[in-house]
Amino acid sequence: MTFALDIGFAAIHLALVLFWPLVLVGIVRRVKARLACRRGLPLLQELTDLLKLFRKGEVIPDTATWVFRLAPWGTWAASALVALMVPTFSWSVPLGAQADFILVIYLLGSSRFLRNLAALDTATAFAGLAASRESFVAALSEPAMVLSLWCAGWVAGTSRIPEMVWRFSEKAAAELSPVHPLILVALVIVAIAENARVPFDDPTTHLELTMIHEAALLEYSGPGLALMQWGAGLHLGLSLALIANLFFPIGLAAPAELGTVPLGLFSFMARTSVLAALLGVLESTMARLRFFRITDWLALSGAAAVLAVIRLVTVGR
Amino acid sequence: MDTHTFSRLVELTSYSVLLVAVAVVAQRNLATSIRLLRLEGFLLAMVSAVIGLYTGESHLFWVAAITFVIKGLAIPSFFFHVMHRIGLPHDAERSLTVPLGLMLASGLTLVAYHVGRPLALASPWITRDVLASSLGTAFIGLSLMIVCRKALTQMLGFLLMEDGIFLFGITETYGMPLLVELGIFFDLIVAAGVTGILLLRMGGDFGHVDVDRLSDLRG
Repeated sequence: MTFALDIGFAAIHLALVLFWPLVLVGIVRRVKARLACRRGLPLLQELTDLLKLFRKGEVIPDTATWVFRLAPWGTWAASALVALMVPTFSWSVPLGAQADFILVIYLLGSSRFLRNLAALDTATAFAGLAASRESFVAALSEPAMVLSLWCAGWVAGTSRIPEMVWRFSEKAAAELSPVHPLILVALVIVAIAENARVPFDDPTTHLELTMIHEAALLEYSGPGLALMQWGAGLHLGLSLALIANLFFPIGLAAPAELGTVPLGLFSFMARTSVLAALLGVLESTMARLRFFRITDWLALSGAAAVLAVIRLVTVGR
Repeated sequence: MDTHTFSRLVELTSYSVLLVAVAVVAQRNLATSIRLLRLEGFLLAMVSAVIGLYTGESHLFWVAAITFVIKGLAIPSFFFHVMHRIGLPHDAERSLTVPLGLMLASGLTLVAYHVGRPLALASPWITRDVLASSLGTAFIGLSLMIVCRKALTQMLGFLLMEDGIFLFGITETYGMPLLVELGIFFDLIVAAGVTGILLLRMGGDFGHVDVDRLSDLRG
């Protein structure tokens, strides 16, 4: 019976991590459209786009090698693997025993590495530039991410992300560690940077010299493009899930208790939708940063994480 | 309110104060810096109110109300007024780049922890861990006063330093006599007012508020 329940929980988690991000992308777009006085696309537009792209044929450049063909699958698989480790509606996840935060960061890094390799593979000037820029942003944002997750782990007394979420959800808000505001700010900035959102990058621009993430996908079409876009959606979804569950762990479902599932699902969807809406508002109210000003924001996230480390090392939990 | 919740709440707010101070260092936009200063005022008012709730001393609520009005509302609006009046550019010029400034801020916080540790261990209060973050805020304010070129941003640094000292005072004493607090607030208003008038005069007479260029007047 418990085995069946576990399978059921894993199935819900899988459905949630694979398809809920597409709705979140739709929410961000809808909020941006509403703030610009447009009606906006339907919430499931991203899913429709993906289905359309999967049905289309693929054009592969003559200069491309196997790296180009491998990259969409690789990046999608790495993001999906991480999505199996980050808690959603419940703190129990299919790959809970492996969900060490260092592994999560490395998997996300390898997904980015593959994408950059593929961008360089076709020798397009645009894509190469995009790869170089993406590495620049990643090199600056990763230390902050490592440090802030390390701090969260120290406070929770574990290095596994689901266990951190579980420990935090057991505590009342007032008992949370004082470094929480610091790591929250650090992780939010890192999440915005790594998902290539305004003010770091604009996901809606095409063929512009300053773009980062979209330019890396210029040569892709059909199923390859669909996988790349889906992978980006998964990354956004798991970033929002991580922030929602680490800092606002309200109403999480307990494992193997069916009664708590509806509340957990509702709470997870509500929390991530609110975060996605906030992201939409942020994107509408801020201007893109000049490329070399990106360092200012990433340095702020790094500094916040370092302050948290200083506090934890000198005073303790 | 039980002791544990109280100490966590005060500590949480004090780290937010430190975080906002660090964000001021990372900010090149003058208007946003002033908005952050306003947020700092609200946070300090919250700390005073929380300590007032815990100790049950009514004059702390007065301190909270006065902090809210003066630091949260009056001084930031006055600075906005001065900024618009002399048409100050929005760029808060510093002599350090933002990443360097943030490194300096982190280093100063580390120093604050080392300086504050013996003091904190000797303190009888439950909120003693706040000491280092309040000292850090004061140090960051002082460093802003040194690295800023414009008179208005130097004043921002001064106010941040004052915020740090206020936080230090209120968490280490659980409220000085109201008369002392009133005196400090009065000093603050005078300092902000004098700087504002000085800025207006500087803007009117020289057309800039760059402190470095003031020495050009000699000879």
